[in-house]
Order: sequence, then C-alpha cells, then structure tokens
Amino acid sequence: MNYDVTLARIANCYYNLGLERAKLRDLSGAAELLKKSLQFNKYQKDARNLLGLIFFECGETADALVQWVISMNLLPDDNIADHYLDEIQRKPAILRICSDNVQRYNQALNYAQNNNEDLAIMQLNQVIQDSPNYIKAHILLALLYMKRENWVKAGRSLYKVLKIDRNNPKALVLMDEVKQNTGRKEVEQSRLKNAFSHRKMTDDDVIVPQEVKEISPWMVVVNILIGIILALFIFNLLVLPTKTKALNASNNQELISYTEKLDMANREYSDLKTQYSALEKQYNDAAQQIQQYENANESFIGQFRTLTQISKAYESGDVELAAQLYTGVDASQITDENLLSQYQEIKHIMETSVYQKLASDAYDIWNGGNKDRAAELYALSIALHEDPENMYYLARIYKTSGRVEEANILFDKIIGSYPSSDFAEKARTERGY
Amino acid sequence: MINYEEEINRFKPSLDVDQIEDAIVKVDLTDMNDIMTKLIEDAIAEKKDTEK
Repeated sequence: MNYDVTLARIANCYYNLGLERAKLRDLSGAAELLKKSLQFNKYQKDARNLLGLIFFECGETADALVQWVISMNLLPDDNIADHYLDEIQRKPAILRICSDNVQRYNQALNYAQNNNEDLAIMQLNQVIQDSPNYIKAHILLALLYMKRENWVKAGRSLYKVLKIDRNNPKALVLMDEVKQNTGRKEVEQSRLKNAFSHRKMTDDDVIVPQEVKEISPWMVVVNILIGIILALFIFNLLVLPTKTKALNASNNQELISYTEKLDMANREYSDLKTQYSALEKQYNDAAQQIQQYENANESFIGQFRTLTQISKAYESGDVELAAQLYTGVDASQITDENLLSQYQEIKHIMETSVYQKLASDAYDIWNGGNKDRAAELYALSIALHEDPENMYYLARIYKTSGRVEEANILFDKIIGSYPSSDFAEKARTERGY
Repeated sequence: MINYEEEINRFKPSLDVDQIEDAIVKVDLTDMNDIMTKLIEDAIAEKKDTEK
C-alpha cells in the first residue's frame, strides 16, 4: 500500500473536520484538528493557512505569520497565504499595534506571575481595548478577577472569549466556576429542567372531548347568506373604491384629452378669426382703392367730356353754350395734368375773349329791347370774368326791370371791388351816395 | 476547585513579531511521512547490516 497517499487522506480528513469546527466558531477544536492534519501531511496548504487564520482571529498575529510564511515556503505557487501576508504588510500600523500588544501582554503576564495583580489587570485592560480578540489576554484577566472574587467582571471577560472561540476549554471551565459562584448555574439548570420536562397530569385535570355539531339546512342557508353579504361588503370596501378610482382616473384622463382638443380648436378658431379680420381689412382697403380708382376714372371721363364739349361749342361759335359748360366745371376736381392744361387753355379763352363776346351780344340784345336775354348774357359774362362795366350794365338792366335789390348788390360790389374805375362813380350815383 | 496561582503560572508569553524568524527556524516540520520514510530507511539499513 502506498502510505503517502493514505497519510494525505488522513490529513485531508483532519482538515475537513477542522474546517467544520472553524465554521461553527470552535476555534480551539479546529486548531487542534488542523495541527493533527499538518502532522500527517506538512504540505496540507489549506490546513496551514486556516490555522494561521485561526491564530490571527485569536489575536496571535505572530503565530499566524509563522504559519503563512511556512506555507509560502513549502508551496509558493497559487497560495492564498501570499494574499494574507500582503494584506498585513500593506498595513504596517496593524502589525505595530499587534507587536505592542504582545509586548504589553507579556509584561502583564510577568506582573501577574510575580503577584503584581493590579498592574497586570491595568495592562491587560489596555491590551484588550486595542485587541478585543486577544483570547489569552481575556482569559488571564478573567483569572485575575476570579482570584479577587470579582465574578461579574471575570464572567464578562469569559463571555467575550466564548463569543470568539465557542468551545475554548479553559474559558468553559472558568465560566463554569464563575456561574457556580454567581448562582447562575442553578438558574440555568432549572430553566433547562423546565424546558425539557413534561407536566404531570393531576386528578383534577379533565379532558373535554370535542363535540361534533350537526348543522340544520336553515343554518346552512343563513351561513351562505351571511357569506354573500360579507363578500359584498368586502367588495364594496376593497374592490369597488379601487375600480371607481381607476374609472375616475380614466375619465379624468379622457376629459383632459377633450379639454386639450377643445383648447386647440379654440386657438385655431382664434387664429382663423384674426386671419379673417386681416383679410377683411385688406379686402375693404382694396375695395376702397378700387372705388377711388373708379370714381377718379369717372371723374376723369366726365371732366374730359365736359372740356371736349366746351372746345367743340367754342369752335362751332356757340360761345353761350361753351360759357355755360365752363361755369359748370369745378377746377379743383381736375387732377390729371393733361386735362388741367386743356382747362387752362379754355380758361384763358373764356377770360380773354368769350366774356367780351357775350357782353357785346348782350349789349346788342339790350339795344334790341330784350332785357331779360341781355341780363342772362351779362350774368354769364360776369361769371366768366368780373368786369365793372358789364356789372354796371347788368345792374342797370336789373334796376330798370324792377329787380332793385339785385341791382343794388351789383352796384355795391362795383363800388367796393373797383372803387377807382369810372363805373364806381356811376354806381354811387345810381345808389344816391 | 481551581488553583489560580497554578493556572496563571501555566500561561506562556506570546510570540512577538520580532521573534518570527527564530520561531520559523525552530518549528518542527517533521510529519508522519518523514517518520515513515525514516523508519523504512532504518529498517532497510538494519537489514543490510544483518545480511553482512
């Protein structure tokens, strides 16, 4: 049989057992099993690394480092011990604190072994403050407290130890002693007794059999009705409000949607209305312009026609008609430059020759005895050009015809407008001034 | 009854970080495999001596 394989298997078994104990926080038991594993196979890398971890957890940093360094030396490839060593080397402060604590612990142990318990307790308290997992320090402190019969403080220290290492043999023994001295052991024993013991029946205890009731058909109907009512009540209480809420939310959403659409339609309507107003204004302006153009055109045509008729009448020798048409023309309405120049020519003719011709004709007709016709022609002549002589003769015709007021107006006008003329003197005489 | 004096005296000083190198050197790394090998070697040597 190949003994090295067998030894490796035994070592593996011990490692597995140690791992199980470590998982259960039985660190002391695990350490013992891992040490046995290493006795069978020193190359059991996992066992050595786990042993190092357990030492580290118990506050024995130096022992942990020893195990990891050996592990790395024996099996340098793919070894997690390298990571552990690296972690500790990366934080030198931890290593320094551990070193200081070990030194203080050793000093406290020296004090304790030389009956200098006060100093030892003080030192150990400081050590524990810096390294709360330092099991050996806790146990030594507990022992010192127990020696002084300070059971409570001792129990507190041991409790901390058992929290780290659940089955630490020394701590268990000491805790038992502490419990005995504090009376907690009896309390715990009685509790255990009560928990796992059965109460004995007394003679007065009666076992009441369960009755099986028969339910009548009416009761079944009543129960069903009650069930239905309860179901409806629960439906109204739980389901209906939720459904109503969901429905309301849906309706609200729909309402919001419609409101948005209405709002959009209103906006569009408003835009269209504005556009319509602008277009209507443009239309009115255009229509007004067209009307103005039409009016101007009509006016132009009318003016052109009148001026042409005047010219024709004058050319045909009918100066009376020409004069009548001329007096009907409103010169301020003529805007066209061509018409205006034509009008100026006609005006020049009217005011230079036509009025004289009319006055001459009137004079002849007056001498013929027709006063009314003479008055018409004189009036027409004066309308073309105000001449004091013609005005005087017309006034004279009016006076002799009995139209005294009209005659006096003309006389006064001659006196006022043409005071230096010969006919002004005659007009004064006629008026009797 | 626990004898506290004895219990305290049983405690040993912890290993200091400065003493790691010495501790590593002192660690006995002999395992069962080494012992078996040694035993077999001794047995072979004894057998050779006897045959001589």
